[in-house]
Amino acid sequence: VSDSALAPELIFSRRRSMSGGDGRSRWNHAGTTPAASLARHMLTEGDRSAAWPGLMRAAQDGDQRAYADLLHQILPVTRAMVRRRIHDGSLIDEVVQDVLLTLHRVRHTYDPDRPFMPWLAAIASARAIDQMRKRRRRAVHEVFDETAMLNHPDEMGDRNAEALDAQAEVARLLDRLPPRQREALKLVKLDELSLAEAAAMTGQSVGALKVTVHRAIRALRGWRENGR
Amino acid sequence: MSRDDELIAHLASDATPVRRAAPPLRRAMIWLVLIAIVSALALARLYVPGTMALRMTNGWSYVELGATLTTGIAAIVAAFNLGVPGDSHQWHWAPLPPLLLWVVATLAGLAASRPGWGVPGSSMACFKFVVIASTPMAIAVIIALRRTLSLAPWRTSFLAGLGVSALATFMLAFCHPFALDPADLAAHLTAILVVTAAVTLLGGPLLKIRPRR
Repeated sequence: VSDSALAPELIFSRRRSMSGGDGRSRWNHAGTTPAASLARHMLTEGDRSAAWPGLMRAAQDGDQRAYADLLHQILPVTRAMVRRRIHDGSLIDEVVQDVLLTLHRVRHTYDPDRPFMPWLAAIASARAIDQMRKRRRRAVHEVFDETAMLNHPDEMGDRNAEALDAQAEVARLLDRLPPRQREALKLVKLDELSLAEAAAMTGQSVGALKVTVHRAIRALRGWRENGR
Repeated sequence: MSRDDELIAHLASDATPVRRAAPPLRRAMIWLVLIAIVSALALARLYVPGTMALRMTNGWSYVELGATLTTGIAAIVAAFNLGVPGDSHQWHWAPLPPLLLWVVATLAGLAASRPGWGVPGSSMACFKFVVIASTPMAIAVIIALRRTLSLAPWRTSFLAGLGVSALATFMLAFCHPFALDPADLAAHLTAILVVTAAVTLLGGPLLKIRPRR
């Protein structure tokens, strides 16, 4: 069975130019191998999956561009394979990445004279099953108790309330500052901009901004010490 | 740049040339031939003259010996085959028919020769032989299987354990100058189970594919 027959749903998310003139400069290991050239030629013919064995052969020989092309091309197919076994959307991306990592680890086991799809499908299937087993094991150890939240005291509750009080006090004190000082303090201390950035935004010189911020802090400290 | 793009870029930058693994059947055959040569050399020293004449008391003994060897070979070939993604899963079951034949022939041989029950514990030498002969073979097969690792590491190491213990039991037939009795059979069976379990448990983690991020 040919690869193309096994992958009728091939829809590629990105169309990459395979014959770019600057291609050679991007080879890191071997130059253009005959297999990679043939594979690229075949890609222009429309049946991309037929080129995968050639691209994989080139990748095994160290052709990094062919490998990147291949991985991009198989991504939608891999996702479709994983989706057939896993219905939890949050898991699919994780498993797809796991499949790519596994493929990379065992790329020397692929025989370019054999179809590529069964090799890829076996990896995708094994990784999806592993993930489902992990999920099941985790589910066994998890306890679902819908009243637990209600019965458990919230130890952070007081701390959150204190934080809210502090926030309200800061807002109240800032409101008492003159607008020019309030804006300078907010930009430099709360938004953590540099003096130069804040000066550019307020239209003041850096020196004038420093003085404004200093006065604002002194005013806040004074109000706080006097308990006002 | 999406997470997938980042990962692909990372993997591509790490794609150094790799040496393709030979087809699993060829690797299994090379392994078996090497083991056969070493075993033949070992047996040439260990063979007790007249053993086979004593051991082969009836037709079932020949069937048993053939089934033992076939089980070992089939299990080893299946283990190598499982190491390559996408290879036929039919191989999982290849050792089953000869294994069943081995059991049937052993029991039929016992029924035909009608030996006494034997003395429990007297077959310790058989147990030791199977374990000692299996150990180097188990190490060798796990090293060979690590070339490809496996998507099904536990099944692969189980088949490797079964193959190694069957081959060791086959070798034992040449150093076993007395007819099989039930106590003896229990010792053989225990040794096979111990070796298979040990290779499965110790070999499984060594055959796992651990992708590196």
